[in-house]
Amino acid sequence: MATLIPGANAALTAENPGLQQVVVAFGWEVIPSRGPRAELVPLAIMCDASDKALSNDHLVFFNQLESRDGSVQFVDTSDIEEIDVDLGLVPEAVEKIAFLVYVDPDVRGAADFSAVRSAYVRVATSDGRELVRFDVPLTDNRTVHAMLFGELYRHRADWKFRAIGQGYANGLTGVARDYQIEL
Amino acid sequence: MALNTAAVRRDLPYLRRRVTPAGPENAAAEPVSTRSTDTASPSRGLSLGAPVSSATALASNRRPSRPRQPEPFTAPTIDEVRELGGEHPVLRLDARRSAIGSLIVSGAYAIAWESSTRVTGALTLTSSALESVGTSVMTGGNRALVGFDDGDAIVALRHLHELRRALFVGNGSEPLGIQLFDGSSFTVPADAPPAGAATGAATGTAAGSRMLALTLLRVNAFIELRAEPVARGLTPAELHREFGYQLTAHVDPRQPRMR
Repeated sequence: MATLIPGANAALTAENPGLQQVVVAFGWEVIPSRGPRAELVPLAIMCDASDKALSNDHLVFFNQLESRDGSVQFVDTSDIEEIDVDLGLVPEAVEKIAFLVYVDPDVRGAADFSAVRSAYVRVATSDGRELVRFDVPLTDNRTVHAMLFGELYRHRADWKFRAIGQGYANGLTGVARDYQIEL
Repeated sequence: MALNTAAVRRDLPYLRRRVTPAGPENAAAEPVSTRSTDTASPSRGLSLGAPVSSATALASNRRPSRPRQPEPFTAPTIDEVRELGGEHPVLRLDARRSAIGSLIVSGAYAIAWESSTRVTGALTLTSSALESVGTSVMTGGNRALVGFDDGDAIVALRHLHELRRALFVGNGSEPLGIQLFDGSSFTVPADAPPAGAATGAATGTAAGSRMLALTLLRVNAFIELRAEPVARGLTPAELHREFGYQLTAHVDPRQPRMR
């Protein structure tokens, strides 16, 4: 198991020949509150070579559980923070799969990362063997409303995972603009 | 056989208690921390919140695709409708707009909801207070699934799947305004179009006997919003009956008795 730092990458398929399916799992803690509480939502966006989403259908989250080609899907409908990726099914046009987490922008407050602790993303085989882990640095995140945790990307004939941890002060609006999706 | 009441043994490193994986309903009862399962127990996989059984995790390397839901009938989108009424009585939100942030309804004075578990309740804004009947539904984010906030009715779209339907009624003289996270919006005019009107937006008169209410229905991952004509002057209780809301009796939660 490798622990990554922001910007570092891991060669998933090169170091694990025959790897076909991976599980990208997220975790975090939210400081308990009597009032409105931040609700985090994982999101996977399938991108082309120019880092833009292929379409609005190439987006997977709790209310759009599967990409059109079936290569990326949520495991269950009960808000489980786990996304399956079948690398063998990912279309050639997909160069990268970005994994983000946003705080649901409910107008009744608590829509930033300030109460979030111990966030991480990790990649494992389908039988649970952990390949890489990234503990997301969360310093001064009061203005962060969405965050790019990491991305799976093609490197020649292989797949790699890059740890990122980049926050979006403009939340989903910024995510939609960066990936050119309708949110 | 006598029960073993001895203290927990910690001197047997080759034995480990295996905790039965929690079901989704148990996991939902612990909303504060969302963590993956222990990496030292690979048979439990990485299922977060609702661990996958070892048989599931090991036997199935490739999950079967979900069965496709039947496509709903064609309906206009919020981009195509500025006013819900005579010409466009219904619109449907896509999966993204149905599930992100808040659906805000301005101008409503009476609202009602029915959760996916058939828990129903209603709120009515009066000049002096907020009257509540039935049972409220609170989400894991400590917010009402449907409720009033600062005079607007709010639906917590993050918990869309906990909602079955809702009703929003204005005062009959002002239109309802509906707004989504991305800024898209539309209105529902106060007056219902005259019966038999073939086309055109609300053309009835303010003195008409019917007004428009807004109904929300969740169809799988989508929200359908519909303008429904109702008689003016109905009380909230009559409106609930008109739309088939049987309000769930409210029960104050109590601490369980401990022996």
